Amino acid sequence: MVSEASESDSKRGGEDCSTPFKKSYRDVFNECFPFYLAIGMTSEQYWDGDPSLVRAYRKADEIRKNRMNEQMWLQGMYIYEALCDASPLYHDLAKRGTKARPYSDKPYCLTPEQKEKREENHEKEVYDKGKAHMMQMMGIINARFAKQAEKGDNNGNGS
Amino acid sequence: MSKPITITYEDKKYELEFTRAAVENMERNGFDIEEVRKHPVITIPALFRGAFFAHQRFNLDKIPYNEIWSALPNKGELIAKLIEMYTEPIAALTDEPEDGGKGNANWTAEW
Repeated sequence: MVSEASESDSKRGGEDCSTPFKKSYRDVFNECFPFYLAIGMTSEQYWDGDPSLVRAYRKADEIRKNRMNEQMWLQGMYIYEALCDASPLYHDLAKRGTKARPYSDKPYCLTPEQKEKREENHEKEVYDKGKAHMMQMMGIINARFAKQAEKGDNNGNGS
Repeated sequence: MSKPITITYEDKKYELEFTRAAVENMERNGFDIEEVRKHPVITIPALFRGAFFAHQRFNLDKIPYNEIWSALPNKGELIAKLIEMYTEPIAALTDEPEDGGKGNANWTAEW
């Protein structure tokens, strides 16, 4: 039995309120069975499988709940950000032509590796942009020099 | 994870374990673990036989329980282990949380 009752208690006819409730192991198993079915355990695992498997299932259920909570929190963050971006439009006295701020074009970085990768990509983008700009400037300046040289040649030939 | 006890008798292997189905079967047949101390002569053989249910369910009639029991050494340790295994299914359900129950309800006695 799960809990003990003294013999004198049982002889009193069960009217004593202090008599602890007696449950057989079978009663406890049947009471707990629906919970473990609900968290994904099969009937065979529960009744015929390793008896200590329920500990792992309880822990897994706790982890699942925490993950779900984090996902819902993250979704709340995105919704909050979207509302903040759209907030200029809610202003009663907003001028005509007021636009919402653009929604973020990238998701949040959830791991340090993702953050590092994003920073690397950003630096590469800045570098490539700068390089393209320099190449363009070079082209313009070179074209100007070439034009000036051509003009000089023409003047020399003309005279 | 719990591991079954393996017994080899006359070149046959038998696995002894108490699943919830095995414990339920024993209780249905009138077994009470608390009787082991009071009436060991009756209950210990029943405990031993019950341990075969989980892995030899369809051959229970063919197992020579008495012969196997007689041939086993360290019977005292085996009985203690069987009792521990019998209570494992209920203990796994009623374990205290690993973190000490932070955030859970607490109780105190005032007598």
